[in-house]
Amino acid sequence: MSSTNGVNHIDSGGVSKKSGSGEILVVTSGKGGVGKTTTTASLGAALALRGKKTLVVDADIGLRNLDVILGLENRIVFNIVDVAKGACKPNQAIIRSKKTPNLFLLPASQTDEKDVINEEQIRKTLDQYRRDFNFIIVDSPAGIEQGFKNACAAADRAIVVTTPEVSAIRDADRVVGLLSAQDIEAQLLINRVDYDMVRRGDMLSVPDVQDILGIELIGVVERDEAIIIAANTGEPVVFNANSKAAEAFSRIARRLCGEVVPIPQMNSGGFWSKITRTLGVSS
Amino acid sequence: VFGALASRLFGNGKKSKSVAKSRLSFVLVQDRTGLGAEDMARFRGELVEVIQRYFIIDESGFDIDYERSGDTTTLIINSPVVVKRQEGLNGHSRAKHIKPVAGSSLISTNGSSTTTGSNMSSKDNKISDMQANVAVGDDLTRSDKLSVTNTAVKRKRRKRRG
Repeated sequence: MSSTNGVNHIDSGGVSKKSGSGEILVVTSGKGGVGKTTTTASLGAALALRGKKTLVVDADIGLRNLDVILGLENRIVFNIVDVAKGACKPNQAIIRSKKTPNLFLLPASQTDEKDVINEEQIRKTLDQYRRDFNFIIVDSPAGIEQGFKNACAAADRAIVVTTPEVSAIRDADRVVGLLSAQDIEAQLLINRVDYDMVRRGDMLSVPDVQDILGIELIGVVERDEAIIIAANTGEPVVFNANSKAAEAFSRIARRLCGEVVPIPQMNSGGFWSKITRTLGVSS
Repeated sequence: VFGALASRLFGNGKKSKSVAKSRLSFVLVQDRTGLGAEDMARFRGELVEVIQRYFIIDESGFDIDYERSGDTTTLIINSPVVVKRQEGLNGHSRAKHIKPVAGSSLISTNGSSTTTGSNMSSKDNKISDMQANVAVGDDLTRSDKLSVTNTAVKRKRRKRRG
């Protein structure tokens, strides 16, 4: 790794040879509590495991959480506001994950107000990291105010997270409209799907949600206890090999890398599908 | 308790998912068009008024519905028209009010034609169900198409199903 730009130390993972292609994604939802931070952390870790140098950015100034989800809360020195204001160098503020050398966190400030930095400052700040990373994933705060605008400022594309619930879908629709107005291409991630409830007719199905929101689907994540356990321990769920959610996030990461990975369909839950599932003849 | 159990077992009860879907489509139209519930009520009232200028309708069957796919929202105005407004032999309207049945307006109109006398069966005087589909663009951010689409396909489909 050459040290031409003064940020060579973050290349020491030695996996990524080609830099400069850094794509900035924003993970957003409108509604809070639908899984933005979990999605950011999980996709960041999954991409890192695939050898992509990935920076996850906490844009929720004043209410940071990505650090605890990644188990990096004790290692924060500088934050995104410090970088934006020139109080530290870009490479001083990022923290490398203990679990995978390709994953880095740029934390939010916990003490500032949401509007302490503006969209232009964020854009400049994040653009500085592009050349050193393959992916930069920005965790947006809930809402559609300044924090959301900041999170989207530098984004090339967006992942809109929703759950199959009326309130989450309504807010997602609003956000899709706002992103579209800014010409940011948005893809849909439906989180916390419970196929048993869908089969009973008590939860909107994936096609229902997709139909209502009318944007391309990037993935479906089933409701999974492993997510809560992962948050308890501060280890992203993708490190849990037995988790359905981990598999789903890994598939989404592959899609982000341009692979064509089909989204598994809900099986009917009927007699034959139970038999075939038991026999391992899964479809 | 038994009723609830039975409806669960045999699927008679309305699934909460379909309730969610129709509530969502309604609220999203309000969000996207920027028209609140009050505006929609006024819109409905004015529509009824205009239609009643030309037709006798069964107002209880008047219905505004929305169908969304992608970034297009289709506004479906469903109005059971009994007969074209005309003066009868005695000088008053010869309309016979019919109870509209959702999605089966053609059938109910046929019913009415058999009971309202021979001159009512002329094609000009009999309109089954007036349905106007208007595609509404989203809140100016996604598209601003405005088009009126033909409803023939939709009506045929309904008829077959009925």
